[in-house]
Order: sequence, then C-alpha cells, then structure tokens
Amino acid sequence: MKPTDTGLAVAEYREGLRAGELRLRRCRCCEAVWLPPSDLCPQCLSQDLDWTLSQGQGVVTAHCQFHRAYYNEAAFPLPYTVLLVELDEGPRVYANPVEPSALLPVGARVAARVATSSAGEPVLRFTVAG
Amino acid sequence: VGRDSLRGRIVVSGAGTTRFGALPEWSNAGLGAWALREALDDAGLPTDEIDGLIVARIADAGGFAELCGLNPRFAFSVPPTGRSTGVAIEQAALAIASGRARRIALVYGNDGKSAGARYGAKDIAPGPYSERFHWAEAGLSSPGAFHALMFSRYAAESGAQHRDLAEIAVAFRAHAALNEEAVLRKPITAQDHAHARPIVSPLQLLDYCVVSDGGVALILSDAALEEGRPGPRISLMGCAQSGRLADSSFPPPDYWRDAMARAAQDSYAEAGVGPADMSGLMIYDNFTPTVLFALEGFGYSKPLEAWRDIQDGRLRLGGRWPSNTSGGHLSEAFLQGWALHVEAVRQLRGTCGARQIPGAELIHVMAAAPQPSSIIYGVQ
Repeated sequence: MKPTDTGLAVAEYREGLRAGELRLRRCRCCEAVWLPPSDLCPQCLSQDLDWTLSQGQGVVTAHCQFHRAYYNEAAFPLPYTVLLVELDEGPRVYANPVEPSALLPVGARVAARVATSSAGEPVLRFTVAG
Repeated sequence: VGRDSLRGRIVVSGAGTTRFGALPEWSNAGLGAWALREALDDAGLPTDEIDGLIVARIADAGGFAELCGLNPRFAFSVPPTGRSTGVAIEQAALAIASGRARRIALVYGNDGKSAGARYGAKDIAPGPYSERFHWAEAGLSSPGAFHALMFSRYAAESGAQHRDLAEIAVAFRAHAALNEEAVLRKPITAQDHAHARPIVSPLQLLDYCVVSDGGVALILSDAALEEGRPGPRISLMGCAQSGRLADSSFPPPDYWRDAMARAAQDSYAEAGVGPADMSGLMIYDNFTPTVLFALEGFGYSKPLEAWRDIQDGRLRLGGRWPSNTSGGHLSEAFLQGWALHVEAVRQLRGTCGARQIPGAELIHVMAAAPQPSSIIYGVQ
C-alpha cells in the first residue's frame, strides 16, 4: 500500500468520475465511508475496502476565492472559487463550481457534475441544486 | 494516570532574538546560532552548560550542535510547522522535569523570506499544503486558504463580517508601532484593512502574517539551578497540548474548539489559574480569524462571540487582555510562534518599555491549530 496520493484508490475514484459516478470509499469491516479515497480505513485500519455511490447531493459548508495563483494559472484562471461541500452521505469534498469564479454561498444546496480538467482528467464540480 | 505537574519546576533562563525582516545573508542555522548567542548572553551561561538541544526549522540538529560547539545529551529537530512550537517546549519541559537534562536550548531559525518560501506552494511539505490529491484537484492550497474557508463558515454561523477582523490587525499593528524590532510598524486603520487587496477571500492582505527571516532561542532550566539568582524568575506554570488530527486536511466544524478546550483545561489546572487571572495573551496569529478561534477555544469568549467581544478594545494595551504586544505574526514577524514566547518572557520581566503591560504576572501563549497548545508563564 502506498500513501493516499499515489494509491490505487485515486485511480479508481477517477474511473468513477469518468463513468459519471461519485464513488465513496467504504470499509467492508466497519462500514465507514470517507473521502478523499485512500487504501486504508481511517476508522479501523482495515484494507478490506470497496466503494459505494454518492447521490451527488450536498451543502456548501465553506468557500473561498483565490485572487493569487499558487497553482498553474492556465489550469486555474484567477479568480476561482473552492467550495467545501458536505455530501448527504457524510464525507466532505473540495471542488470548484461548474462556473469556476461563481461564489456559491455557504449553506447552498448543490449537486455534483463531472467536468474535464485542463489536463484532460475528469474532475468533480458543483452547481446549485434544483 | 494523572498528569505530573510541571508548575514552577522549569524556568526560562534566557531568551534571545535576532533582527527580523529580510536577512538574505543568513541561513536557518546561522539565524539560530545568532539567537542562541543572544539567549546565552541573556542567561549569563556558557555553551557547555547546555545539555539538551531541540531545533526547529533547522533540519540537522547534529550539524547545528557541531556549528555551535555543543555536546548535549540529546539533539533533535521538530518539523518546521507552527504547531510544533508548543510540542518542542513541552518536550523540553518534560525532559527537565524527569531529570533527563537540566538546561535545554530551543533554537529556531527561519530564512523563509529571503529563500522565497511561499507557504502553501508545492514545495511546502509534508502536510496538506503539498500535492495532496484532493487539494490539488480543486486548486486549493495555502494555509491562508484553509483559514479563509474556516472564516467563511464562521461568518455564516456567527454573523461576523470581514470588517470585524479589522480590530485584530489594527490593534496588533498599534503594538508593533511601539516595538522597534517589528517588521511592520506603520499604523493602519480599519479602512486600510477593508481596502487591502484580496489574497484568498474572504481574507485580504492585512489578515495575513508577515513572512520574515529571523531566529529565536529559549533556554529552559531546572528551577533548582536558578535558586538564589537575582531578578524576576520566569516559570512555566502550565503546559498542555491536544490534537484534532483525524480528517485534518478539512476545516474542523468546531474550529478546533474541543481540542483547545482540553489543552486549556489541563494547563489551567496545572497552573492553578484561569482566563480571569491572565495579565496578557500571546495568540498564534498566522491569520486574523485564528485569533477568534483561539479566544473561543481557550475560554476567553463563548463560541461564535469573540468577533463581537474584541470590538471593545480588550486586545489592546490598556484593555482587559492585552495581546500580541510585540505586534505578533501579523506585524512583528511570522516566526511560527517562537517570538511570542520571547515576548511573554520579556513582559513578565518588565522590560518591554513603551509596550509594557503594567505589573504583568501571568501570560498565556496559545495556538489554535490541528494540534493546539497552551503554555502559561508566570513570575515567581
């Protein structure tokens, strides 16, 4: 097993997005459900893991907007918003809005969408639900 | 098993600082050595009295000991994170209290400004600010962004607005104006705070600390070694930490309040004091909202009320709890908590001149973080 960033879990999570699914890591031993995907249960340390699907609905619990580039500006033109979304199933995710500079308010109900990053990878985004 | 009390068993024998700001000719170790020399001079001790060494942001403890000609029983480095400052001090205190060492030098050197350190850029590792998949994917980076997220939630929950943070930046800058060593001394107003350029909103430039080069050293000693020494004796009265590390690449929904409450309770019990007894506070202020989280977590305000409480000027000199009298990280220099400990010692010695808290007897140094720490110093 490798650390979170290089584990198989991330690749499988991305495969899910490519198929239009938001996969949540699930422990077969203790039934914990979490993100970001990793290869170790953060509740019982089991490696007997599978996936469950999120309905892709949640609420914005925090947001911020970058006016300074820390990452490649071509990938993230300024300004851009980062949302912290708490999914209805419990796990939290960071994601940009579908319209990256939109500042969706804290408390807003949002729905997941899948977009393609400048690197050609499928990425999770959110738009106001409804 | 209960906690063995450290109260009164550890004293601060020496405190030293370098100049702060842009010091491009100095390395981390060089800044640390400069600060150590100042601390030894302050303590009136030769280097061969040091029998323990803990270095911070200086990668190689053994190399540093060689540079300074030290032969400590142990030498190790702690990670270059602000949360490690309280950890290092508590470990030093525990080593002395258990007789493993009698005089420990804690040495910090930071060449970050001249080295072009960008806290939150990809070269900052380990931790959530490096290339963590779920951060990088959304373009999330930087400790400032993390605190911006936390403040956005705090604002929605409490009714606070960005302008309510101005008092923190303005008060600490007013203190820095009285501190010749501070990097930023020009007084600012709430209007300046409101009109500063956004960095990661809702935070703007004057909500961010001032990245600086500098070194800090403290010498902690077994109190028995200091018997009969003239002058005020500065003791460690209470010391505790806690952790909220699980899931810590996300903002804690309680702003680390539970973890801080545990550290507060342990340190207050050890010192036999509480918030009402404190002469002044040194609050880890990497960003303005952190001050609110700390005030609430360590019991100086009720949850979600600190933003309103501070508007009465309580954090200013002459207020109920003068805080960060040096200017803190926001205006003196961002030295990851270390210089706040030195300021606490100098306040208790009564050597702070124009920024002195009259009759200071107890100073509480606190940090809101995934690993909060609470350290109380007193005059004996």
